[in-house]
Amino acid sequence: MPDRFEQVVLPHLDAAYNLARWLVRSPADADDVVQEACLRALRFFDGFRGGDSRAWLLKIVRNTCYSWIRKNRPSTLADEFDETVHTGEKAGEGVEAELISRDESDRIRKALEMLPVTFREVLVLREMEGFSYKEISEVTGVPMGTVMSSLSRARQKLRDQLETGTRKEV
Amino acid sequence: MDCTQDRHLLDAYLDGELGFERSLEVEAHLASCPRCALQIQSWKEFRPTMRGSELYYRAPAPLAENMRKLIPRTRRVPWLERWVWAGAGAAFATAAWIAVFTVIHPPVRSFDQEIVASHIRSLMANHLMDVVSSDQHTVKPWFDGKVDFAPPVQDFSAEGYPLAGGRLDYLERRNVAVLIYHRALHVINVYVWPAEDNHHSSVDLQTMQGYNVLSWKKNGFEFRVVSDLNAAELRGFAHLLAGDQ
Repeated sequence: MPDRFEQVVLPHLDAAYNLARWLVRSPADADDVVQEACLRALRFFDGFRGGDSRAWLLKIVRNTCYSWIRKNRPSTLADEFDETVHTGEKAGEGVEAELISRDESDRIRKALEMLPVTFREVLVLREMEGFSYKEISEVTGVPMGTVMSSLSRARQKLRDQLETGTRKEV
Repeated sequence: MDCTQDRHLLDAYLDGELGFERSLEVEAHLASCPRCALQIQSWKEFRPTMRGSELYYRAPAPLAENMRKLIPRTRRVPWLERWVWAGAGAAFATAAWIAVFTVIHPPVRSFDQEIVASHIRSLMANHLMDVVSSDQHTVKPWFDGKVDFAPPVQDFSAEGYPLAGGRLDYLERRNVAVLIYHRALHVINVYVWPAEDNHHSSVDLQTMQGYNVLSWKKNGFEFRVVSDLNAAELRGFAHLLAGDQ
């Protein structure tokens, strides 16, 4: 059984970590959440009936993230832009660094971090993991129609965010 | 289509999630609405950055190590019970195995399961590639003298499936050539070996342990493609591979 668990879960550890890292937005917390999620996965493993192991694991990771957020950052669950986000390299680096950072990935990272968690989630699953709507619906537990509309809104918000971000820089 | 109302259709179109008729509807709309056409175009240009490794957080090595350590420890408590069950299970499996072999003989562990296991091993054990190159003229000659056939090797970078390298594998008592392609951060393993007959067969999909496995025969070769990439995109890749040889 442990062997099978190792085969089912460990190949998807990057996907698990990436999702957690985007949802809780800090390396140390993502680490904790993934460990916790793997423990849960191990506990539930007897209930895993084969099928898509990546979606199965990410569903557990996702739920663990939400529990963590509810406990530690409840205010960020509101469906609004998150102004409290700490974008990593904050204080000390000053305005100049902001001005120079025109790197495309960096811009997207910042914009994405500002989005509400439900939008970050669908974008990570769709764009980074290449999940289909059906798989996203499996992971998040929302109907496929809702997946479609929240992806659409998420992309629109990301575009808006990128635009305002650019304007601020100029 | 009314794009002030049905914006989400554009997204579903972009994601390849619309049926044929709806796709045609959206395409007709795009031809007449420059705003929507621009939006689709700009997201397509934006996508590679979104899928790039800069924005993807890989699990730190210590985390993976911890997870490995964690597995046997949490399983220690009911070990006796487990061993008894495992023993009984093994005895039963052996009996079943013998019965299957003596009465009817299709093997229990199918070839496709073996291929999926090989795919998983290649991801786990840092043994993904023996020859690392995106150049088909490096990868193809590398197989010379290692297998008794010349596998078809092509790079599909332009289509979004760059060739990453090749390796040898040993399955069903024969050497098999494996080509490795990438799609964003997904790994695609392509297994190629000479077919026993010259029949062509169309691309067939099955899902095993969460991996998609496509198989077909063409031009005297048998192909298996394994990846955790979604079925639609993987099929697209298979058609590239099958169509251009």
